[in-house]
Amino acid sequence: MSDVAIGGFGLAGILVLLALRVPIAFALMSVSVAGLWALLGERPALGALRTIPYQFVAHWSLSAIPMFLLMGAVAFHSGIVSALYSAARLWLCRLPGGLAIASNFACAGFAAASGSSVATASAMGRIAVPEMLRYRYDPGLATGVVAAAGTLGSLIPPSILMILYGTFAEASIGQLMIAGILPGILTAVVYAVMIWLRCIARPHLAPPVDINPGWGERMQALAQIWPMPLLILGVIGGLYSGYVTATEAGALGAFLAIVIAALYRRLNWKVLRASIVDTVIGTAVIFFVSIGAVMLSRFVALSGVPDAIVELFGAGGLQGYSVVLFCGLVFLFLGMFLDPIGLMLIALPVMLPIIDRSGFDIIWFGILTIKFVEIGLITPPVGLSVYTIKTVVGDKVALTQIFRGIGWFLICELLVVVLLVVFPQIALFLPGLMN
Amino acid sequence: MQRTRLRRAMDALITLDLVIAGLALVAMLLHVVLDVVLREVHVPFSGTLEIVSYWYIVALVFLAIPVAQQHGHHIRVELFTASVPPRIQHVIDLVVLLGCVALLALFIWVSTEEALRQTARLAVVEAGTGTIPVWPTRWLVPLSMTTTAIICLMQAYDVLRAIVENEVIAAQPREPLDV
Repeated sequence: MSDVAIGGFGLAGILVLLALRVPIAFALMSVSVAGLWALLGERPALGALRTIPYQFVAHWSLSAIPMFLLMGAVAFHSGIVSALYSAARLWLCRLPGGLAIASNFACAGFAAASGSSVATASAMGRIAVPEMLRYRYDPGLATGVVAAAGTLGSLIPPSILMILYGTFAEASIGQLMIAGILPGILTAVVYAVMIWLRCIARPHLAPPVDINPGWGERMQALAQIWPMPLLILGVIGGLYSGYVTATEAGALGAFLAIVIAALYRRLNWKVLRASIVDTVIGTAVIFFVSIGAVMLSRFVALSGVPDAIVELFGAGGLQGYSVVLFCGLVFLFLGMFLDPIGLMLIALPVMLPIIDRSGFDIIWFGILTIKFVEIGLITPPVGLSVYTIKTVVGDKVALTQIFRGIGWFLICELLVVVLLVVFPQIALFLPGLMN
Repeated sequence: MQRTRLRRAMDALITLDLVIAGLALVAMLLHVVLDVVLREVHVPFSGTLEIVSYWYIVALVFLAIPVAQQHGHHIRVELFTASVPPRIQHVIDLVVLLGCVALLALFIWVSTEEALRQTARLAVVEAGTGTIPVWPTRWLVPLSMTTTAIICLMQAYDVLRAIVENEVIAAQPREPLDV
């Protein structure tokens, strides 16, 4: 059997194991060890298992992951999400579709404290969706906006997915995170405009609400969230100036989040404990899958599968956008059943060598990858983020309604992706200013 | 009786793992913040990178992997087996768990060898003007994998008993993690 065939069987084997509910980390590790064994023999296979796990974990740049997870967990458990939503709601509720627009921007705001899209969507789903339904908003719109805007969690820094991408692609994590800012804001604005226009055209989607907050009330709500910009500026400013590394930015951010929570008397033992336990377990889960992905990278590279795919494109075909389209389709397919971390870590070992040869900017492709991952998670027929929202809202909204509601957001996503491809500067402008 | 004692011992071990991992997380946070602050006031403070990389993060990750196994947090795909009858699911789960144990056994073997090798050399890394020993944390890998393997075996036992006694283990709802 040729090396490429072994590689191909290995990748197919992973999908079979995943379908049998084998935890992703175990599936990746066992296939990689078996594959390396078949390619090179016993010693290299066991050698990979001997050295890779420790060497990979003992890694300075990856220690940013627990720090940012902690920051997000503290922000989440200390109730920043609901404060953000109440403030956004008071300021935006008078607009057509105001509550949906408020949820959208509250998601974007929380995304700047949290590195995760699933956390963002599930937190906002619990608070915002019930209220929109109470005001007789269209259930598709109410759930769709949270599922779609939740994906901003991975695009707006900090972002766990970007730390992983940066590590695997050997790209600057600081530059990646800065590169995510404008596309993140752009996405949020496009969403908001779309909601606004749709609700003007079809007012029954979002009946006007009877909230009429005075300016005092609005200012008071703003006072509850003023530490957020501080937190964001601290983290992003530090990264942007290059003064701190990603790990240091994460540690300072987590520290600030704890101090802010304490100042607002939202910090108690329960909050702290829950934040630490979530962070510790989340870190272990991410690293365990990542260990498997590093081993898979070695196996896939040695099998020559990426070269074979490049050849399939034919000479010169790589200059075009067919590679981008190809990667997008692969993410779309895998996004049907994988969560963001697993999706990213299974796809990257195959994708990165291809992108490397295509000559695209690795930072720009990183932003595009995050977009693809997130789009994959909300695309019918199956999308994991949609199931997250479904679990949160229970029987009140049918799955098909959520998917229908997401349709408009997918069109927006498509628009943003096209803009990113046509104008790479949207992503590359800010990191370009850094040096 | 024996079995409950084993279970209680494992629960205690898991709790201890979680506590130490949590302490490593807090220590990492404080250490890095202190490093940034001291750098700001120009106090030399070396070794942060090495201590974080070779001690805190290693302890945090490897001690918490068994905890995640215990609580069923390791990411897996539920979509395809959702409609499979529970008994067949149990049989699949049993095979999968035993397969995981086999892989872990291999992992324990090679990581123990590696830990022994590093210990024999008393491996260190250079940090600033001095050195920091890194061989002790090598032992966390086999320790972690052994604990995980025992947990998998106990879970396999539960599934086997459910199959034999024709019971159905209620699927634990998996809380979405903050990732």
